[in-house]
Amino acid sequence: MRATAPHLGEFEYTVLLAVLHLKDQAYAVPVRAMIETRTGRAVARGALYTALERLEAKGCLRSAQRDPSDARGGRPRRYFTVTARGLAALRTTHAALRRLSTGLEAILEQS
Amino acid sequence: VTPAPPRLAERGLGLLEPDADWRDAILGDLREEFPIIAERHGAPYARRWYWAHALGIALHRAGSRLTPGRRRHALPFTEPPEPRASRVSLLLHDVRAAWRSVGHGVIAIVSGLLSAVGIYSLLSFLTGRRAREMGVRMALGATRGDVVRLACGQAARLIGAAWRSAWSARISWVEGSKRRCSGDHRQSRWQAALRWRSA
Repeated sequence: MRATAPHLGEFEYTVLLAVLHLKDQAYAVPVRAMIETRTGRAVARGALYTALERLEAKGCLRSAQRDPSDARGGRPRRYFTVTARGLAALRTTHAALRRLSTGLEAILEQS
Repeated sequence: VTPAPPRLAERGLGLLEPDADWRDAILGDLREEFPIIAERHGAPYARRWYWAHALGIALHRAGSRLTPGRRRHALPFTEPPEPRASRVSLLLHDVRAAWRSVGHGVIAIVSGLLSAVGIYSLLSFLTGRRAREMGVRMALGATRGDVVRLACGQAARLIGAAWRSAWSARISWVEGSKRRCSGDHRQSRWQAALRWRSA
């Protein structure tokens, strides 16, 4: 039986998009910077770490630790990549939002 | 010399994060950003910045573990104001943040302890006053349940009355807070009364 794509919350959707943008450089620091720059919204670090952990538990993200350095006190970075399940979840959420906003372009795209 | 993050904050956050991999990732990320903040705004601001984020992360992660399904708002600990802000506004920010996260809990614990002491005193006072009556009733064949009912009945009525008024005050206060959060700044009767008294 094929598992259905999990539902994504608004913040989870944002985090997955940022990870997708950053490709192989996606760890918490640039992910947070990208969300703040592109959405203009302040992101609490605790919320970001919790969202990343939850997305990994849902099977939408995979993580690997690498690049320990002196600048990080010898601690490695935790890099994230979007899994096939994460992509499916992104597509589902994106399609749902697009369907929901169809017909509202005149209002939504007003500057 | 590269400034080091406050050791106590680093240790505390490390102790509060049970997962070793996440601990490394979180502490490493903060350590990586610390010198950049210190260079941009100075070491004192960077230390404040580190404390704010360490406490924020610890509170958020602990809250998510305790109540995983609950929707959480943004953290009580936000980015400290820019260092060009006056010392007074920096201090106010820290006090407000600490109050939001810790103050309410401390008040709840102290109130609980005071209530327990109050209930104990009330019960011992009422029992002491009726000790002779209880002795007579026991001699006449009253059971243990009868004596307990006699001792607690009056206290229970007083506690019940206090509970009712506290509960309605709480509801009124929470409704007022909810209204304020949704942008309606009208005060509840209790808030208006308290403001008027403190004015």
